[in-house]
Amino acid sequence: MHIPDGYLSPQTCATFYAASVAAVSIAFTKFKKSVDEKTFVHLSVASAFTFIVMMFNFPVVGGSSAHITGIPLITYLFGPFASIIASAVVLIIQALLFRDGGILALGTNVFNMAVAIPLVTVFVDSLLKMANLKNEKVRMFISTYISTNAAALLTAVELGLQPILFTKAGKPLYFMYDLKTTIPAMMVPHLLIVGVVEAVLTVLLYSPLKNFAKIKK
Amino acid sequence: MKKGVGNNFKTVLITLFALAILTPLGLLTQNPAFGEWSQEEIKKMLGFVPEGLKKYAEVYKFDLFDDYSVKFIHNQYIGYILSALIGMAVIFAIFFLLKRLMTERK
Repeated sequence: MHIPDGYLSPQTCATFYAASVAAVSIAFTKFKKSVDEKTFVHLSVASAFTFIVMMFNFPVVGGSSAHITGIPLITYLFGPFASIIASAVVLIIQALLFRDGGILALGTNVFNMAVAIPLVTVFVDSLLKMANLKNEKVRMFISTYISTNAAALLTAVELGLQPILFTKAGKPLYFMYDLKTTIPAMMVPHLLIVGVVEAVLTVLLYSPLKNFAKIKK
Repeated sequence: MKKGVGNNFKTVLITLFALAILTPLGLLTQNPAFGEWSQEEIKKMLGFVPEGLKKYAEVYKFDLFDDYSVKFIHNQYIGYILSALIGMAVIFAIFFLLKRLMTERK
């Protein structure tokens, strides 16, 4: 899900940089209000966990590979704002140090994973609460599954729009496959495998970790 | 409760290091992720590299730890574990700095 540089037009990159900077700034302002020394220790561990988890690539349908992010779990443990900060730090490190995801594409990658996953997770969870779904684990499973797939869909749409919007003499300027290819290619493995693995991980790890993460959300 | 939290913290840290040692499992698949191909792979697929893609793909040149390898270590598994440890260390350092910046001002 880490989009490299060159795949997106400068216009796309600029748009998502703006959105990500706004979202991360808001998260940081909210996060600052509940901060104490312990929060940083816990959050640094959460961030490191997200980083490590993303290194485990596994094969998925269609001869491709994918990885989970651990971000929904961090969201349940620490709340959405802390989760946005922890995940954004990871994506910045991945881009700057390991060239995993581009520098121009960093705003887009932060938006797709660090911003969208926490927000969709809490949004779906609160919808399910309103629908009177009392079983916390079921809510966790569904919200995690949906947020993981939402991130994949965002990535697919951003990539798939490039050859529709940006061509030169009939040839794509940036990413080459349109929505007809990107949506199934991203969604089939995420709907069938990645979303399920992520959801199972969130449900399994939440209980043993929740005492550890006892900070004000 | 405090003691419980402390023990739990230690367990979590140990688990993180264990996971770091196990990261080479993530290398068992050599399939590239969809939409994360290199320019050579794109050239093989399409017969050409899109003009804009070529132009912007090379804006950032720091490649000491390119794709979680370490330039001067030729074993990819050891490079991957080292990258995991380096990444974690940098993340801890960032949060340590943030903590100092934000709690001292209070």
